[in-house]
Amino acid sequence: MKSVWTLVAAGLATLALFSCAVPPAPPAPPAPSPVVETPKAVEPVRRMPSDGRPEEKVLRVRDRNKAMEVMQEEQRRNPHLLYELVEFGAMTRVGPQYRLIAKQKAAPAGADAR
Amino acid sequence: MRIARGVLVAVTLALCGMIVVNSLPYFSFRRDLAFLEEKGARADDLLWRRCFYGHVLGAIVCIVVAPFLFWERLRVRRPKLHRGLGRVYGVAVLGWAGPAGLVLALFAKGGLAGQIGFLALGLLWWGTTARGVQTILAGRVAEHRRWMIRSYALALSAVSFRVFQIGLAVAGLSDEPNYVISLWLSLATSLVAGEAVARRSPVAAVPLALKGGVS
Repeated sequence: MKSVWTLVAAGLATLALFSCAVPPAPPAPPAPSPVVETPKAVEPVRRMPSDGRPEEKVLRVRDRNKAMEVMQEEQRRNPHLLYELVEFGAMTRVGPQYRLIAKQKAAPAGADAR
Repeated sequence: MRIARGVLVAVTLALCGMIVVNSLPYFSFRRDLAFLEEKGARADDLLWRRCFYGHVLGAIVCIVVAPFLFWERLRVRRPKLHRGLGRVYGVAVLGWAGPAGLVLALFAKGGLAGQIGFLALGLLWWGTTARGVQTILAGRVAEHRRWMIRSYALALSAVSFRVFQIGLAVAGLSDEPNYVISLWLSLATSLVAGEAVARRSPVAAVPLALKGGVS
């Protein structure tokens, strides 16, 4: 070995060989469909199933205020149901999402009493 | 003193091992790794990718080989092995990790401060290693030792950089200033520590096996 440049040349030559083996970047996965943050994008909560269990619906909104607006509109439309907004998935990469739960309102005390 | 030195060496080697293990997933050539995702479109550029993988591979070789080069017993008893590993280290720094790192530095995170920091680090690393090789080729063993200590200290800035980064993140510093401050702190630490250790390196007490044995 005669000089530093021998090492440099050997290094650069092997680096060039190695770099031929580096593949191009794989194609990026398709971007997730954008979330339409308007109340219109929300499907109405379905009617209560016959077995009386609460109905759940995931809202396609990420903003808490908009989710609240949707809930209030649904509440106005169906006053006989009790709506509840639940946030979930805040720690995931997607970020917070909202679930609207519709429950049957409890019958007033003594309603069935005869 | 001896125990403290042993602990320091063990911690350094463990951190080096962690860096190597954490770098291995890059060779799956996947694109969805945190560092590459952060780089955005730059990570799709073929020149940048070649430099990145060349830098990572060269740096892994350096980190793995260097401890054996500083192992006194191996250096004295197996001088041929020391020379062979030294050539591997030289090729890895001077031809792989160094030049590729200089290209990557042009696109480094942290703006101008980050780019200048990485360029300075790359040039100093390349320069100290080149001087180390040059001095041993000229038979000046004591000088060679000092330059290689400086070279390895700069290589270890990869370790101290991550230690500072974690420490500053725990202290609550946000991402971008943390990156730049950690970079400059690790560069300063490597220069000061490397110089301190190099100056303590014996000038005369050089194993005879190395003298005159350079091919």
